[in-house]
Amino acid sequence: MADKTQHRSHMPLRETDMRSETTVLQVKDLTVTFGRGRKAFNVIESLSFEVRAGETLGLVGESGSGKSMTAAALMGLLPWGGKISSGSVQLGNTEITRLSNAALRAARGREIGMIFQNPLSSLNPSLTVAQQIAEPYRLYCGATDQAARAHALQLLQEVGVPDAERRLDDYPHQFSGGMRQRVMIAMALTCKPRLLIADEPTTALDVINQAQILRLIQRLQKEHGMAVIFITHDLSLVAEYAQKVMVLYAGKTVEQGPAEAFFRAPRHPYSQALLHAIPRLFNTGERLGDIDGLPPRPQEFPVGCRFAERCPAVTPECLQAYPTRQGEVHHFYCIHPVRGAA
Amino acid sequence: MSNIPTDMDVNKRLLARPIAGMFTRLWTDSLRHWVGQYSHPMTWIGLGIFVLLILFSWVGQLLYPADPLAIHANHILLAPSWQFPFGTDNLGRNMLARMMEGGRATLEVGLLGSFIAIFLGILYGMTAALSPRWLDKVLMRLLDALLALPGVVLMIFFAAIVPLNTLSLVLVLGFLSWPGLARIVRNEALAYKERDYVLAARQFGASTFYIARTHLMRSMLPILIVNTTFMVADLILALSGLSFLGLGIQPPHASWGGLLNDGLQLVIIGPWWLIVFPGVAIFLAIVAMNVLGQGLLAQMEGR
Amino acid sequence: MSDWLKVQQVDVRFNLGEGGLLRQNQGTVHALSDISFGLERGQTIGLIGESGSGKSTLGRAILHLVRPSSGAVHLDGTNLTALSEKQIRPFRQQMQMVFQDPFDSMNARMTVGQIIMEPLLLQHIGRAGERRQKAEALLDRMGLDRRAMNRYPGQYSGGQRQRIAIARALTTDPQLLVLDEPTSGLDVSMQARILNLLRDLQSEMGLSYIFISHDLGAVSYLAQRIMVLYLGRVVEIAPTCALISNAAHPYTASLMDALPPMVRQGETAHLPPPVGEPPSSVNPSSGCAFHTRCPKAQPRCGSERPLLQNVAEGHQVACHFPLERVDRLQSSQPTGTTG
Repeated sequence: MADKTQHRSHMPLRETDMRSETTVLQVKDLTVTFGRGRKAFNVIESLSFEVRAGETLGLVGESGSGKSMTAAALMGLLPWGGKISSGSVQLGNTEITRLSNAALRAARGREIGMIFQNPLSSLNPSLTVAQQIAEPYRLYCGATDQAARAHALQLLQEVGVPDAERRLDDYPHQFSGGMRQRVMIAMALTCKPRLLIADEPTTALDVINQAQILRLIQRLQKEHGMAVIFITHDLSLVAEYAQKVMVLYAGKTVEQGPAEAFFRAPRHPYSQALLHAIPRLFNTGERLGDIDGLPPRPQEFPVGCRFAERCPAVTPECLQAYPTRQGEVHHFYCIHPVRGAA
Repeated sequence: MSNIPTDMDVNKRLLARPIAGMFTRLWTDSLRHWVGQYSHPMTWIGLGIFVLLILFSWVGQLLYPADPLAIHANHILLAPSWQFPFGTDNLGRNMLARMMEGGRATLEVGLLGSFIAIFLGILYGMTAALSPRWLDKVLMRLLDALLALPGVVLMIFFAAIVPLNTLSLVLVLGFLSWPGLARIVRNEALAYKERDYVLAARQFGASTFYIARTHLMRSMLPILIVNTTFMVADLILALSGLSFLGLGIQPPHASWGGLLNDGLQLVIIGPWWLIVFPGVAIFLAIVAMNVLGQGLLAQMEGR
Repeated sequence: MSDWLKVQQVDVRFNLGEGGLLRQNQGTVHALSDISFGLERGQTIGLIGESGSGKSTLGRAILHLVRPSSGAVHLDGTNLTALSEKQIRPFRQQMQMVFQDPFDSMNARMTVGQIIMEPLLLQHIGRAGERRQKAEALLDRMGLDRRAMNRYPGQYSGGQRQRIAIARALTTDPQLLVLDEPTSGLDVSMQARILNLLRDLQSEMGLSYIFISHDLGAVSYLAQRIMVLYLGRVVEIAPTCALISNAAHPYTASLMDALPPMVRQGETAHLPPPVGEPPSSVNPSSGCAFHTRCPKAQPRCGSERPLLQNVAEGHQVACHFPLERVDRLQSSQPTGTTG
């Protein structure tokens, strides 16, 4: 999927185009700030990335890196006190940071679908599955009750829920973990969104379920031509499913690029450390790479490189200023990058 | 937090050392942590008002040692003045002094009654939660039966047959209020005893009593405190209700409910000071306790 | 070579059914069925399975937090199952558990110091000063600041809390640690740290581990042998190397197929993925537990329950049609070698 040409078309918000290399989402210098005045702090700073139709971007980071905040910012669902303080987020050719609340809600409902980590807490336990899947379709796509219900049935079948007709009127707690996740996927796809954000969709699932869900998402992506942002802390999944990788640490991008280039030769020490930390089946007895310490809190972000205090390659220059960007399509922010293949 | 210490700081630290020694034990990490956790404004407001009422009733007497029972025949039904800041009643008694005495009685009944209720409630509830299934069922059925009895009726019944002093009222109200708390304790204990940390304690060889005392009590403490505050408010209200029926603290001793009742009987004549002060006091006590409870709840849920 | 820990034909059954004293049971959950294995000193055995496989229950049954309904657990020659609760108590020092949820396994209202010292208190080991010293020494070993003694677990991250939990488990100088999914829910670098720590502790102290997890990668890092559970039954047990290169049970093979290539580092078994969901473990059917989902199921699998049989040295499978090495190599090479 290394298409060099970038074809941005001026399409109205509703149209989906499966075959073209359209940029569905373009984010430039996104910064999210919490608090006001002197007590203000940024949880993510100057993030830039884009995702095209049919493409998956793996957004990788550990807890506290700001990856979930990024998703929340894209959805307009930042917690109280947070706002996008600078940068632009363009969905298709609409700048969504400048939309009113109502317009944002409509855009969110129709254009972006989101699935969360814990389906039990994200699904309303007091509504049936049919109601929850049909709701956005009715609200945002203006369908009748009957049409919405038929649509819900079709979606349930598409995501692979067996005996879908009967299960339409079941409640979330009557489904198993893997099935609930499929229901959530169905909900996210109701209005045929152009962008799907999956925030740690499989962390709560066992291996077999995890593989099934991810392959399902992959299949649906191909069929609908969606762009997918796959947020996770597990690089091994990103290697399998994503075409682009973006690694976040303490609110900033440390490395970014096409998956193939990234996994062939990760340059940033943090990316390397993450890769070495993954336990593999046939390990020759060598130690897993671990990293001492904890990431800094947003209120305590240092001036220089934020990974410096935990980095094995740190030198005094690292602490003085944030490293400049190096590289083109595959780029990173480090003055002592790792050389050679992983 | 890395400032270079100035001379002032150094001096303060030198002076502070012996004094700090005294308070260090109180102000340990743990206390700071818990105060920090429970610092919702409503908590402080409620607690503050209630503490003021307590100070008024007990410490006030030391500062204003008037006799609540003394009759001043030539000062009947006087409006508030410098001599009698809360006015006098139909027997010329000093209302301020009576309010203080009333406060002692009312708050005593409210607080002590609650403590008895809690003690019994914890005993019963904990036993039910930690006993084998069949015993738990039996105990809870018994509790259901007790809860089904009309509390108000029983309250009146007992109050009518018992000598009406503070102690007996404390016991009556305490014994009538514990079932509600027992149910809460039992439900909470049942939930908490399935937690991993209880399992871990069992793995270390803990006895059931240890688990109840150390783990379950600690976990339930916030809920218990919240329910206590509501119960104090309820008991104060109940006592006032009893006073209306003539079954509260008997004259010549005062309680806020009793004073309010007396005042209402004279309402036609219009001495507002006989009604307003006890009424406001009862209101404040109940509201303070409720606000305190709500503040604690808000803090807990907000977590 | 007698095993230091021996689990013999352990069954754990739970009776369902609420209701009054006269209502009948509504079914029995067979959480574990005929589990047997042995463990030597200083070794690790991995228990792999999905949720509902009974792996957590097995960990608890070994520690006798849950009483086996039948079968026995022997520790260093002593039959623990035959002992009463009181008699088991002194043995509890030797075996400890690290729980899955670092948030829930410790009482949030106790200080870290109290939490770590609790086992010593309950087992009446040492005096106050000695206990404190021991707790502080363990905190040092875990790489945590000693000031943690007076702080609360809520002030620490998941990975730190899990290290506190490990410290707590080590206070009584146990010889066996049951680790129940100790790294699930943790970030990848946290997980690596904990795994390295566990590995170091094992070589320093000669600890034996029962490592319960659904993560084959993590388990293969620490375990010399792996036992795969499905719906409360052992489906395969083998030395780690043999299991990951020559998984004989279709379930094990499908577990490995589902791993991301980066972790699996090898060919898949090219089996079709398992269908549907695991059946309920209440009143289970006869026959193989996996037959409803197995891509290689035959009629015999539904009626006759497979017993564990040897397929290689130390490698046992409970399957009527175990996968041969031939099966797996055939998909990538035209001629295969027989096992």
